[in-house]
Amino acid sequence: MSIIDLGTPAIPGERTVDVVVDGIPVFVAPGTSVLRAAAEAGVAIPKLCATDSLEAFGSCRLCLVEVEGRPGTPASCTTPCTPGMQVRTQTPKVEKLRRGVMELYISDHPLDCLTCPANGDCELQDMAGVVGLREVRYGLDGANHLDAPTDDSNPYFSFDESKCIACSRCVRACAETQGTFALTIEGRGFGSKVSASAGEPFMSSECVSCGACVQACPTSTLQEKTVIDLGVPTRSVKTTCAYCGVGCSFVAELRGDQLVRMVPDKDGGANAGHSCVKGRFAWGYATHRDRQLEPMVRDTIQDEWRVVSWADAIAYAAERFLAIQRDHGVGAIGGITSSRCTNEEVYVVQKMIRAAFGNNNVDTCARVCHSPTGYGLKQTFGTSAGTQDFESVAHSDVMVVIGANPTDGHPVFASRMKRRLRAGAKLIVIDPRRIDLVRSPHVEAAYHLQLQPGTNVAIVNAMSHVVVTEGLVDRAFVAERCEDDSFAQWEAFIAQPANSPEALEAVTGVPAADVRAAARLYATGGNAAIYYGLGVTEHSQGSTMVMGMANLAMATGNIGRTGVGVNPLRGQNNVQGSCDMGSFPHELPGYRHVSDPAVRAIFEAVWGRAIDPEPGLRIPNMLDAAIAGRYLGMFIQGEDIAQSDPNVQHVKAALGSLELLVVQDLFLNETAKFAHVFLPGTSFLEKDGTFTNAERRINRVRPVMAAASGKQEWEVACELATAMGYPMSYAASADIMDEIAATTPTFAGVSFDHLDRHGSVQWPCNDAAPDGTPIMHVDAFVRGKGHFVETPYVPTDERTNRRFPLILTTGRILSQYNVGAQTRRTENVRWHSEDVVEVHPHDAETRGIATGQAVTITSRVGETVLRAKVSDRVPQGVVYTTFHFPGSGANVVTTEYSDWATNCPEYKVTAVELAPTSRLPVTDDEMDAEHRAVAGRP
Amino acid sequence: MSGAVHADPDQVASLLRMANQIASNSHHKPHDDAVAMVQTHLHDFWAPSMLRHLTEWMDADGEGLDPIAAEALEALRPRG
Repeated sequence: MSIIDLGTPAIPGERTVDVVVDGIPVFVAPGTSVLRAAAEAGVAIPKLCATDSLEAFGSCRLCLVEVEGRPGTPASCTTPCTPGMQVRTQTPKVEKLRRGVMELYISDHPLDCLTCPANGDCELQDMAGVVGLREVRYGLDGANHLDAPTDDSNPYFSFDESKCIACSRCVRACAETQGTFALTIEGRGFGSKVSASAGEPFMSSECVSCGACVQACPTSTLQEKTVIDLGVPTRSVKTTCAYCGVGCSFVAELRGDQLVRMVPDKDGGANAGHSCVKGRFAWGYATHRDRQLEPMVRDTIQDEWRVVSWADAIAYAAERFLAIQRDHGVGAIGGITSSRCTNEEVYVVQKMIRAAFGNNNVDTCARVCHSPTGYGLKQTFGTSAGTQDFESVAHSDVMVVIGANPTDGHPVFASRMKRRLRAGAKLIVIDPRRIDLVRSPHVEAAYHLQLQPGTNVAIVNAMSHVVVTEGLVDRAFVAERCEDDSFAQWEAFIAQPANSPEALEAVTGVPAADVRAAARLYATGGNAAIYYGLGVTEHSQGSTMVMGMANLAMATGNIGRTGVGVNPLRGQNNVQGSCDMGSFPHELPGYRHVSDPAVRAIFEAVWGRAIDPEPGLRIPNMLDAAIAGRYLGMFIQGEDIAQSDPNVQHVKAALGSLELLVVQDLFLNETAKFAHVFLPGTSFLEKDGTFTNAERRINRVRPVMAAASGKQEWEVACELATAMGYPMSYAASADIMDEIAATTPTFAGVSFDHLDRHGSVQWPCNDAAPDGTPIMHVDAFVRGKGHFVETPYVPTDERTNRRFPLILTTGRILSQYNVGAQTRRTENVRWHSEDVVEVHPHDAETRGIATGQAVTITSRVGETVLRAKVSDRVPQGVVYTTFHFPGSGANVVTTEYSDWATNCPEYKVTAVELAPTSRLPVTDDEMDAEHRAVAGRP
Repeated sequence: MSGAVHADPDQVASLLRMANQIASNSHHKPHDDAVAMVQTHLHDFWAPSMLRHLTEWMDADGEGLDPIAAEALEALRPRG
């Protein structure tokens, strides 16, 4: 597919330099290359090693030009424009030189264009035509690379060395774009060749399979295997990734209806043409044989499923929901929305619950991840939103990464971070585990505060104590932008000796001197930005910690401009959106409390139904009520709570207590084992709507293929609501967004037309900000004055003891995603085929545990078996695991403890004990076989 | 959840833990402010059925309920 490439990156700045290229005048910013100036003037200079996503390299010698008044033929990619420069790109001299260069390339290149997978999509082929190559005088029987081997080790792309022209674009992409530095040019002169790590196959090298090298390659050397198998794509659709909260824009490229590859969109506001292994390659789950494409019902969960029509399934669900309400009351049913689904799908489900079910028993999977963000940022700043756009990090001088592992969880944003860190920004990591960012190629944290799990609030208080007591408060900012009284109260509180780093050292385990130094760096190091993840929120004081970080940012004036801010790295693709859309039981869309009659009136007027003015039940309250026999019917949209939520024994007991569970999903997951109605969902390749990423960017999700089940998910919710007596219908998902815009002030200016015109927009988007809002709280906080909140450290009730002396904490790995429903059904399992538990060498030795050995992990609520990995990434006394495989049962051992304000589970702190065992972990194959048996499949 | 029903012991244990945890995060405040904070939180985030179940249990037993939470619940009684 043809993509405009201007040759070298854009240089920011005013276009003050006048240049004439082949007689065409053009103004460019100082520092702009001649190659790019020419492209902007509409003159395409031949090139091979240059591409506008990478810094100029000047190796291929194809972009030579002549400049009036200068000797020689400089490479236009490395020659900056100067005022009055006269450039000639087509002269007999440069044309002859280019043909000579191309002749040399082709003399050592296979002449198999007609059978090459890149035929028609090859820059070398294109350039041979552009320079007018008509002969190769050197023959092909001299020394050459034509028999060089092909490395097929990576499941997604091949490396055919015989086609390599050693332009270094792949090497530079790995370094500049991805920041992994896995590739290099090995050897010199004729022996130069691309090498992964130390001459290893790609699969066993340090390559993270982001695909930046594949995208950068101008030939078929690095080539997607799907292109090799299926052919060059012939059409494309722009859409949005459905994995993490970065929300990368992609161009889905197809041949007919067959998806061939996903190419990150250069115009994507979130990703600017980059991607990770999941988004670019791990989309095969969308057409996996495990997808359940027909509706099914059963009277009890012991019965076999019966495949039925859509109409029968919806009628069955509606009748049983209504029967429960007749027998047990309006509040005896509810539902959960999904952060995997579009804004439109989520909005319709919460509307179905509030208007058709007639109650506010709606919650979302954000309950178990970023609900404390919603609470904490609303209390302090006035709304539940990250303050910055991703691009802001390029202007940060200090980054604080707290409880997040961006290189694994948010890899495309991590690449932005690493680029800025390589340019000199300082990094503070606050995490019990030594994540990759602490030390990786060309990146090293200035401070790694390796705190004890559960002591985040103590650390942030200690940092704020240093700021206040050492005179580092930005008094002017606080006086102008924040409340006087709440600041005064907070200042007195935080200055107490009990909040000093020295007093809290015994609690946190972090040397006081390091805390003081980190606090000074944050307060005085220039633009300082906080980025955080679930290591902040999934604690008993998750909300307190969010407020503590907001206090720190306000006190130091690090809010309201580019390069600073407090930024949640949202876990799932549409966590932000699902929360925006009114998925919480106390809030209508736009984070407005249900008790506000003016807000209810807006929706009542549009929906034609009275809205309950009281908050509904949260997920854990729904589960408790189910076990108590008072909550009997549940609609679950795209969430596998029987795997993802804590203390799954309790979750399963609750699900098993329901009279009716309706699951809308792609797969028959763990939760569906307890379902009575299964409604097939749509993959992101079939959806038509919008996702909102962690920077509040609303991106279009366009259908790449028809819905395999025959219905969009929002249509199903509408039909269910209608069958329950509340007529609900839309002609198209665009109409749902129009209703959102009509009822929600921060979305007032959003429409599909607007998004199609502008690509994306960050809310608030309304009359006051028609082009959206990249940076929030610039002149004033959403709530007016910034509000400081006292944040006393309250230890969790989850304590270690002689029986459970270790703390288990959990996280993610790059190649897998959440409960693995998608990534486990792709070749990504080649990198991570099972979850393991990391244990410190000392703790391993005292228990007789070796790497690879199966161990029991026992907590006070349950036990599971995983293989051990002895690692000093975790400190002594702490063990760590991921939760991507249902058989791993990580949440068999996590407890019912949760954040005090939001009930977000305390996943990050579970007291456990490890012991060697002869039992083996449950494998993914065993789990899948069980699911297939449930579905009646071979 | 319709009608007056007696709370399930497990559900009460959960509600009790939640209420006490909210109260424990208010203990740094003066007494009246602490009660007001817990009361506001319960009002804004708890479903009426949750308030009702815990209040019924408080009336019948109340052992182990943080006094701040108890005062807040009492203040919310007409609503529950």
